[in-house]
Amino acid sequence: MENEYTEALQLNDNLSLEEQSEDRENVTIVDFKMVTFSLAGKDYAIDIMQVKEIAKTGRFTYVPNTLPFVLGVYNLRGEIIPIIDLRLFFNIDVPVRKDNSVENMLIVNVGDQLFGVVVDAIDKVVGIQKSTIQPPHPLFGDINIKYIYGVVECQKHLYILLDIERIFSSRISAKDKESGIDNVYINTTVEDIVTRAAPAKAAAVPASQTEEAPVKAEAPKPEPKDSTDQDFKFIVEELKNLKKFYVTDINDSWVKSRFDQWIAERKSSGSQLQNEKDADDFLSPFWSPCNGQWWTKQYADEIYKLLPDNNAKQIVVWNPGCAKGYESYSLACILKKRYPDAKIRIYAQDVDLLNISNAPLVTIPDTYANDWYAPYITRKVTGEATFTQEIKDIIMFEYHDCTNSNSLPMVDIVFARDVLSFLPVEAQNMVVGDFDEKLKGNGIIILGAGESLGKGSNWGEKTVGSLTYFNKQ
Amino acid sequence: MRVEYINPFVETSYRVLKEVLGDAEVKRGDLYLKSTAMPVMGVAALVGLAGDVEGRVLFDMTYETALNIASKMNGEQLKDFDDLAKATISELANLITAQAVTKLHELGFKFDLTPPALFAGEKMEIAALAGQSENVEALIVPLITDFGKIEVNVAIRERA
Repeated sequence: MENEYTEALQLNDNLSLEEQSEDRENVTIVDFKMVTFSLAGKDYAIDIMQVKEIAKTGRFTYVPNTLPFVLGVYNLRGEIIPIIDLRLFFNIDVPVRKDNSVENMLIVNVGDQLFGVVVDAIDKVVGIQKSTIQPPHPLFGDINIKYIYGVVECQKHLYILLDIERIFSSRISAKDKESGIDNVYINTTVEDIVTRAAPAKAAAVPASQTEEAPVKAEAPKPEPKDSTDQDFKFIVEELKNLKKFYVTDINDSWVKSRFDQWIAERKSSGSQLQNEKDADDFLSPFWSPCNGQWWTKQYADEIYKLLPDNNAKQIVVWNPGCAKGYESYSLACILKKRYPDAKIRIYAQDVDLLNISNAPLVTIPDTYANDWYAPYITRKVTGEATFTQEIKDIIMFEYHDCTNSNSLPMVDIVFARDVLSFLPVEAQNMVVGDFDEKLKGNGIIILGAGESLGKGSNWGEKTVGSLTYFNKQ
Repeated sequence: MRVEYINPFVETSYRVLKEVLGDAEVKRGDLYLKSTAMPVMGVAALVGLAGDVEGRVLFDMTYETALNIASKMNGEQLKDFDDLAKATISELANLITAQAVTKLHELGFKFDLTPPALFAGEKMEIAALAGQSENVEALIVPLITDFGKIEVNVAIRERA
């Protein structure tokens, strides 16, 4: 095509009418205008159709108890509009405000609501062709990418085109307030959740059939098939009755291998779980290392190595089933070491009221306090070792049943060792659905040693040393 | 629910109830969590909370219990559940919640109360929906007295 074009040029200096129009299409047709502005010296833009006007003003009325990036409200010719500082929103440093200084502000229209957006400087209006907008590169990371509509080059400037509707709508639905704004976007968020939950539901179907599944899996065994199958079914049933341990996709590979071992161990005395002690014996190798205890240095180091790089400013961890909080504290120390610059928040939950109530008051025995925990330990007046305020502030202990709805923010890490296996089948699926819903795109899930999300689902898995984590694919 | 919130409510509801009922015996049942729509026994006093945290505290009891407690608190036998009885139960709800909130203030959580609202009737159900049509999780503190059982139903959460 281009060759033809140049040939045509060579053949005939006079451009034909047709070619002229083609030329114009490529260069001069402007079907998208955007207002450009700068944040921390970088150029950004938003669609002009969403900008009502620009204004220079200051001294906004402070509103208490709002999110930090909300500067306050402003009276725009009788209409009270909220003012958001985009620099704070994107964690960019803000120059110290002088008392009477005026701010550069874009008044944007999202849904039916006006917002004031404070930026460093407003540049100009630039007309471009919509087709030149390039999608944001995946390298920008999952968290920020959703706020970026695309990247566009114009007059040797590279502009980052922000998706202002996304920025505000996600905040609105997250805040769960100012209802009635931008219903369309709230709906899409809900829809997203539903569609994302769907694969989890699909995965749930095989889960409910697991009780039959082992039968097929065991079929080629040399032993008399029927009795082994029978035994296995009994064990599955007894684990449920005695220990509330539910065999599903999450743990059935462990249960199967343990069953073979169990048969070998118990040749003489029969393979049935007669009482709670038998069930405890059966499950004894199930528990993850250091479960319900302070962590050894070895295990702490393994967890440390397992954690992937994460440059987020804030790292949120969901730790259901934290019991007495030993693992929450241990995790807090490791995260502090692994991500020293991030603000870490652990939501530790349990249904045992006594355990969880005592968790904030924990003391740690000297043998552990002088081990790898040492940098995070302080002494009470009584001489007992406890964690520093910095570590304690990281963890929020909650009396909460993880099968009930929660109000957690999006999380980076789900840390649920030996929890899922003790939930009934439907609850397991629901909680895994919640994990999916609450986990950030680059987030990870750490389960117990005998548990796995890998089977027949859309989870990826990665093993480091003896530990494995699961992530979104 | 944050563990810090639990004790103030459990303690104050026990103490206040014991105080207003004079020498009557008050026993605390086991605490538990509930997340379904709850049938109301007959009379329910509701106090809302707003501020750093949001939620509500609901005091649920049967019609007879309410009447007995109101009679005891007023020092006279009330015949039916009239305005005085209603005001008394509302006040009880206010007393307990306000003292619990004062305790929480001392711990550094700041929030306000709404005036109590009283509901009375047969076959009522309270549904508190949170977000995607799921019921909000509530802590139930059963208090068993000589005058009948009161269930204190606390549902609070951090503002997201």
